[in-house]
Amino acid sequence: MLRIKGLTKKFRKKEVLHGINLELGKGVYGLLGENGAGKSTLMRTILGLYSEYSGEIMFDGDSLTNDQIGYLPQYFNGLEELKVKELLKYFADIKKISSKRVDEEIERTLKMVNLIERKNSKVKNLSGGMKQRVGIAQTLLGNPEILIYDEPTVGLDPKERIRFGNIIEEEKNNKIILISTHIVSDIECLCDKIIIMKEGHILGVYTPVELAMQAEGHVYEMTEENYNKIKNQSILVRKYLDEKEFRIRVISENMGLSGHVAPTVEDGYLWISR
Amino acid sequence: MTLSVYLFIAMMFIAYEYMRNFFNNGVAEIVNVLDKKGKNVISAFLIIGLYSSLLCLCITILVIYEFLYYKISDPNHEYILHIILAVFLNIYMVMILASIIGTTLACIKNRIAVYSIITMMTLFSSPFAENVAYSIDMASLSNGSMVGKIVFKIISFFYIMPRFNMRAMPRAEFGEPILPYRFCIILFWILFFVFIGFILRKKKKIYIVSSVTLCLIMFIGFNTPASRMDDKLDAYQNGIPDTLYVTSGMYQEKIKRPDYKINEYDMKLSIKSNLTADIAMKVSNSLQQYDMTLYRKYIVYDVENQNGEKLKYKQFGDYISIYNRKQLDITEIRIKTKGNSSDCYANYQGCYLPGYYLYYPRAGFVDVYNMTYGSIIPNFVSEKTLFKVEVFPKKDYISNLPKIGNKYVGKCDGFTLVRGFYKKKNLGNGNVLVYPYLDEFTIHDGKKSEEECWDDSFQLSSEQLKKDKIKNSIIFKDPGVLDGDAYGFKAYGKNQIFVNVGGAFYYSDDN
Repeated sequence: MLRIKGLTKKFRKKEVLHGINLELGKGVYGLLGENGAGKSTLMRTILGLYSEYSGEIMFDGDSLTNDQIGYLPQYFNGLEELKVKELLKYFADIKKISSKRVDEEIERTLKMVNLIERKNSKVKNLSGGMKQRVGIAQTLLGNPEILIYDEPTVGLDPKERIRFGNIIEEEKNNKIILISTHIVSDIECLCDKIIIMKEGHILGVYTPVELAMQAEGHVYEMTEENYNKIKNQSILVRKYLDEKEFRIRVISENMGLSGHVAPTVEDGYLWISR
Repeated sequence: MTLSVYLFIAMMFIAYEYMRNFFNNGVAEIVNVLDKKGKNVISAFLIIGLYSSLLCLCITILVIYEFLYYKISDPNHEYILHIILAVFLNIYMVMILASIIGTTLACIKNRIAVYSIITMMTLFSSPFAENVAYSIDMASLSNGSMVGKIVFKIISFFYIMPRFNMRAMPRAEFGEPILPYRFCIILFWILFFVFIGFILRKKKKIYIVSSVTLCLIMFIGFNTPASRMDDKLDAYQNGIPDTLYVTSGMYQEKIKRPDYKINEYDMKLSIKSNLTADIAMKVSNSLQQYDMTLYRKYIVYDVENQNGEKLKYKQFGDYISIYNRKQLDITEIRIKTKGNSSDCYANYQGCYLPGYYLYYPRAGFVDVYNMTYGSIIPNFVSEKTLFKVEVFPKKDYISNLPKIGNKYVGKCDGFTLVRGFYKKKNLGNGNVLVYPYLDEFTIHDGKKSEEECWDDSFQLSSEQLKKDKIKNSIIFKDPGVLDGDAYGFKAYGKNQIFVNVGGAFYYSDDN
């Protein structure tokens, strides 16, 4: 169990995390919030990249240590002149994996990300998606209990996204996986729970269904004409062309308007963070 | 030392390309997470340091081997230490600097900007910059113009590598300048790029302030006046400082016969970055005013009589007037000076203080420079005078006077003190030659012995000595102070002779 208690982080005099409390058990958690909500700061604090903060970050009752974490930054290209296995050996050395186990670990992780046949390829010769998989492989080296991924699906094509989802699916039963993203659809597919952040606060932790249900009764689809009437009391979700006319999907404070539709996770997120 | 230029470029490039990958491709972030104490980064730097050390060790061994091969017999421990320090400064520190420059530049994403900076750093610190500066100086109508001075001042801040590494040998009697100011300028650039790196990586204020403070200290250290060899080695400065002083009309020639005599000099010389001298002179008679001559860059800061009573004085250029307004009975004048000379160096590494040079006062106003050539006039003391000289720090000096206890004591027409890569050779008839054993005349042919080389090169001088019936003299190889044709590159004193064998071409292969 990863327990975060009263976590407050300041940059100079500005407080960017306000007493965050979280308890994360095994499973996949999506960290969702607009830019500046504090997602990166929270992740970087958990990762130990900031030494000055108040509050506690404990894992199974003890302080979190380096070897318990696997981390994939948003932009990962590796050291391009190295071969895949050399790069993984480099990370294995930093993780202090014993030399006897290194080759075995590299084989294991490369199999997990389906790159075993490219282990002798230079990193620079891999596609973007493959490099991302090498990045995931390095997070799995040493079998850490916590995996933290920052915007892992940005720039991946649909096939690679599915592949990423499959890897996560395999690992989620015995690890805590925290994924930060802007892409709500990814969260919906990948995550067991979604942590909504806004202005340094946690607004709530929900399952995808629970999050969608937060907007129950507030989501409508209507014509542009009707939308203009309630424009000031609503949030525009989407505008799309339906046969001959434009339809507008909105979230509104008002209940009982005509055009009520079932909410999605995205609606739930917009409703909560409004 | 040409190698240091290539290593400088290579290390900058390698460090930049590697660290660029490291920082920009997400690797640094992962390493920061996995290795919070930075052990991995420290060990990486240690490995770079180790490889650099091994490279330096190999170079040191090769250099020593080369000199052994060229039959420079028994290079003394000072010379071996010199090679080690030269390699440390010009190879090791240059490589470390290049690595730090590359690492810092890796924080800049624009590759063109980075390559421009690398190119600029290389050009400014290479002999190419000197050539350009020299051309600019020449193009600005007169040698030593303001434009030239500014350009040379700017490139002096890029004195990272040996100045003449592409073109000529360093001074044989002195070697490469390995003086505090050279360490200061390399450390300045290291700290400067560390400071820029801290800013770009948004490090804590304490790191930024510390690095910029240390950077400023090194900058001040570099600019603190000291006896610097590049004053002489620099293309612009090659013999120029005094020439400019003379030709620009700043030197006012004065000749005044003294109405007193200095019967004894009791001197304490302290040789550090500058020459500090405490000189007590026994004077023949008490006067209201004593006129003396002293090289202008040795600044007088205290004058008193034998009883410690302060005397007013005025130093103007190369001349000093000391006033006895209270009409005290004066038997001794004690003056304290501090400074350095462009021609006759005296610093941690070595010294060349010939007896004819005005590093201690002469009675009266004497002519200092030859107005035609802008070169200095040898000024021996007019008659043999008793000298008692104590020198700090205690090193292996060579002098024209014998050392008795802690002091060099004896009568002569000028106290000469040299230290460096010198050897003595007995020429017969009581004549002793003091010459730099790394001199190109001595080592020009690896197949011959040092003795044979010497005889070949100095045959003319030896013959001249016989012809002139010179006996019981100490002959010093002059490192180029005696310049211009006016004196035939020679200065004859009583029992001491200075010969500039190579003349002007002594410094550079080009000439």
